[in-house]
Amino acid sequence: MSPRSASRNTAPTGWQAAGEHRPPIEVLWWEGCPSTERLVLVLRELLDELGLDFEATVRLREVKSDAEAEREKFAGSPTIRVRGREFQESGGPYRLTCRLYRLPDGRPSPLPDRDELKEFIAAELGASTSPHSNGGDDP
Amino acid sequence: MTLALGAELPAFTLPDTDERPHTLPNEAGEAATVVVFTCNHCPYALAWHDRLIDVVRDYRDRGVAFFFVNPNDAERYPDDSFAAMKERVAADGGWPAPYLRDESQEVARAFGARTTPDVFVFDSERRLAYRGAPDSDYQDPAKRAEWLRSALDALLAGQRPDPATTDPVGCSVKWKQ
Repeated sequence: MSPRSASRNTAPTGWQAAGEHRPPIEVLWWEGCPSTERLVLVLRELLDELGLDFEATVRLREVKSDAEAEREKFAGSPTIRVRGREFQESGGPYRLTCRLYRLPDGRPSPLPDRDELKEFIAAELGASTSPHSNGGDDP
Repeated sequence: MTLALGAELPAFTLPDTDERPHTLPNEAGEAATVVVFTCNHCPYALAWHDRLIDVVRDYRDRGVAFFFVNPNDAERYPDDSFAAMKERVAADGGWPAPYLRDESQEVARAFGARTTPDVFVFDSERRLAYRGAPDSDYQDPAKRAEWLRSALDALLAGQRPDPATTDPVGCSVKWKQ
């Protein structure tokens, strides 16, 4: 999936206005885990709610080997980083595996809690979490 | 290669977390036998675990025998070592069904297990009657492992499970390299 420029109906956020060209959200994934597609759907929805364009905001990168996982500090699929900061940061081990997330009630899950992820992204990108915000205001 | 519907329950002997050997088909259930390939490290297996344990509690007194089997390569995935399995069961205060270590991975190969979890249900004749996922959504505890429950209810009623197969969903079995 190749990143594209922001859609016409999306106002620039702080990072866009600041002239950053690299998509600020990076999703590292491994084909051995079936949750990537579901994560992409979730990201599309919540970025839309934040007034952000998925194609311009998200970069998907496949991790294919344990060596690459070590190099990328990839603790499992999917790993989500916003401007380099990892959601539920892990200290490793780094390898081809499925990522274990904890939901707010403590349950284990292959995917992050949607609301927590949305808040994390909004905080890192300076976007408003109010529904259908144009995302144009910096905090 | 995976077991086809109607295939005979593969025979095996594996140790549980108390190092007691369990042998199938000797310990097969009168009405049905459930073998679940699972593990310690996989978030899908963990997400479904409580639902599966609830099924054990609801059906074990109805002639259904349950076995959890961990076949993963513990060298690359130390969380799945026999020692880690023992620690997990102890931390949970025991499980209502044996958690077996498939160190050689021969049992997983005999079944054709693909993921953790991967659920195999055998009928009273010890023929494969259901294979697949516990239910349709690892994220939703309200699903209650309904595909597995439905398969068991069908067998207990003398019927065939419908669906009889679903796609197993989870982490790939970690084969030794």
